[in-house]
Amino acid sequence: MADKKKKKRLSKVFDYLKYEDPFAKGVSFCAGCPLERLVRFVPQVMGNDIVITGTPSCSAPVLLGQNGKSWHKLSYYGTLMTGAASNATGLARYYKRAGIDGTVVCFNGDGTAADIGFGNLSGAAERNEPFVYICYDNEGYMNTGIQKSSTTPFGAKTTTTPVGSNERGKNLRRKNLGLLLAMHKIPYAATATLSNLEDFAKKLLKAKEISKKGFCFLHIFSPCPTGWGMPTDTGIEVCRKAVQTNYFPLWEAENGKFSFTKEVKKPKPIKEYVKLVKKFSHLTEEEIEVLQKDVDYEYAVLKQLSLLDQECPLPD
Amino acid sequence: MNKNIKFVQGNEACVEGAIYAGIDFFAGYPITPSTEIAELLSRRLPQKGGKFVQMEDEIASVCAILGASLTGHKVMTATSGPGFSLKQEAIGYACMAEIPCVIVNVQRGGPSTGNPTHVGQGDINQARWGTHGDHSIIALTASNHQDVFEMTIEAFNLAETYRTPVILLFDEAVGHMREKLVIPEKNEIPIVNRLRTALKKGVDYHPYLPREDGRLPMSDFGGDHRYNVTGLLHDMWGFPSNDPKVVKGLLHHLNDKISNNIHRITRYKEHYLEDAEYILISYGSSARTAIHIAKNRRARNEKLGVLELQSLWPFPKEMVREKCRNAKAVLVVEMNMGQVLAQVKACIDRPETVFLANRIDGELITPSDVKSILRVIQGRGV
Repeated sequence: MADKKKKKRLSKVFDYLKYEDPFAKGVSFCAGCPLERLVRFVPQVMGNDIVITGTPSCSAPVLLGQNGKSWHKLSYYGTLMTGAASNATGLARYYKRAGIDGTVVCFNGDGTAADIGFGNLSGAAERNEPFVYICYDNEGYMNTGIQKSSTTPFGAKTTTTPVGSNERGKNLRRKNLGLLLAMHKIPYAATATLSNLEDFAKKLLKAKEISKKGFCFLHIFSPCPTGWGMPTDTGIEVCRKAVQTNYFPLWEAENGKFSFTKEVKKPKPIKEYVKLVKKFSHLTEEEIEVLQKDVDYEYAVLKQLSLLDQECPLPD
Repeated sequence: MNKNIKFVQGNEACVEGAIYAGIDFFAGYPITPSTEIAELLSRRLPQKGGKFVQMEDEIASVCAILGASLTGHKVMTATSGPGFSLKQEAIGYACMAEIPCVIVNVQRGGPSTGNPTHVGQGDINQARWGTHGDHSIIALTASNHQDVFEMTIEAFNLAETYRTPVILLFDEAVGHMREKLVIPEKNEIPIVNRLRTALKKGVDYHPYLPREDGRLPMSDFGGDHRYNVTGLLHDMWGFPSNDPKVVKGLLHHLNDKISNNIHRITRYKEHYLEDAEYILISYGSSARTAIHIAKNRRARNEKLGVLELQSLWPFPKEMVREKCRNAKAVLVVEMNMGQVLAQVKACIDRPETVFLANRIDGELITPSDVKSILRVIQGRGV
């Protein structure tokens, strides 16, 4: 009886953790960084036989190891930022040609995915390369010291979009990377975050399956306690608020057919999310309104797309 | 307290120098160990009415400054090894289209991603030959923050004088070290501003027709005169040309405008060099080690001096040859596998007297690294 009760309390997400955690017990991420949960979660769900490629970024020090010491038991291919998706293409194409049953996971930050490596990411999507591209989006270049990237949202303070007498943080809006990739009509594009792990796990498994045939893109929202100025125990809470305010809606697009995987019935105002993060602390009511409008617009576009009853799969 | 005295990082000294020289536009991309230059300019440039843009990659950064330079502004970008590799095509374009610009490379360990947070001086030859084809380039370096400040100003001056990209080759140790910087009063260091054409609107303007002194007056692009800019070989109007005479003439012009002015471009410092029997040739942060040794040895009446190079390209062959004429031996102190050593050997009367003291493990070269080699050269045993 006691056992049954205990089982009931466990989240369903444990059903998805079928594989061993290949990482050491302690890894060298900043305190409270959700990236740690993320790097452990991917191989726990997708299997320990995946091949990971990645670039110089926040994840690289842990994924690469240092001075002959490794943090994990996976194969890791550290590539250049300018050609991340192309390096993965080489691996995936060869596996396919040689008939090797391997899943290639290209695991990069937003700087590589949305900025310097966007060209070859777009190219890989257009060529429908058989691998999974995961972008963990911490909205900036955190590893080099918190500079803005093209996914940094309006108003955010970074070291290259400072707040001072002449500046008010970033005065431009963010690039919607997930939507951009979905518009390549790839077999599978989705967003996920760490507050909704079950949803994330389902998407990972789907991506693993579909990547045998074609390109899969996962856009993961991953807050940065160090760079955003938030207490180290609020990572998951910030993810949850991002979903509840539609700042980061959870959706997927299979062969161009959009659907929300977590529909927020009564979205909270963006203010609730903004107040959790110090990088927005200077924002005035008007500036928060600009951010709200940006969020509303992106959500409206997604909503319209989800109402379309059409898809465009590539013939086999 | 004097407001002009600051305690800064080398990267900060570079920013101060650029602002003193009149920088208007900076486009950059984050890369260790040069990121501070972008971060500081993102704050400082808007304050003085300039423009800072963070671009999506290294290639975009250098191309953006070329565009801004054509409109008549002083421009700069900053990067490190991997970013410098990406910028090479555009540097060649700037050489060909004769667009003044300053490109800072705060060197780290290479090749490839290399040793991002450690010092290296392995990009010397890349600065010269990184981009393809016969071209000429100016590259400057500095060993301390006062020199970083001055060389940054020199870089802007030379870029404007010769209408050419100028490379500033600093290294991680100089870039991240903190020391004193005294910012001179305005006009204390001469500033070269762009030579603009005196031709009025509507008068036929030849953008690529050099004056007798080899300089080319510029017209702000999109302003009074209509002309073409291209990376193709071109004639005096900027129209693409494959006429052998034009091709040959342009290549000679591009190379001669630098090589004929080596004596004007060359920058160096002498430390205890007058009667030196043993000469250490060095530059950048390794020069600090060389100077330290010379200072100590002079106290013991050993005739040892340092020739500190501040302009690396065009390589000051004549000057080095002249300074080392009476030396028993020359020791090149650097943090690569002998890139400047090869240049010194090529220009000196007795190349067999030139030796290398280097360190390539990501650590700063220390006096004891140099001393152990010096002992062998001086015949004092191993």
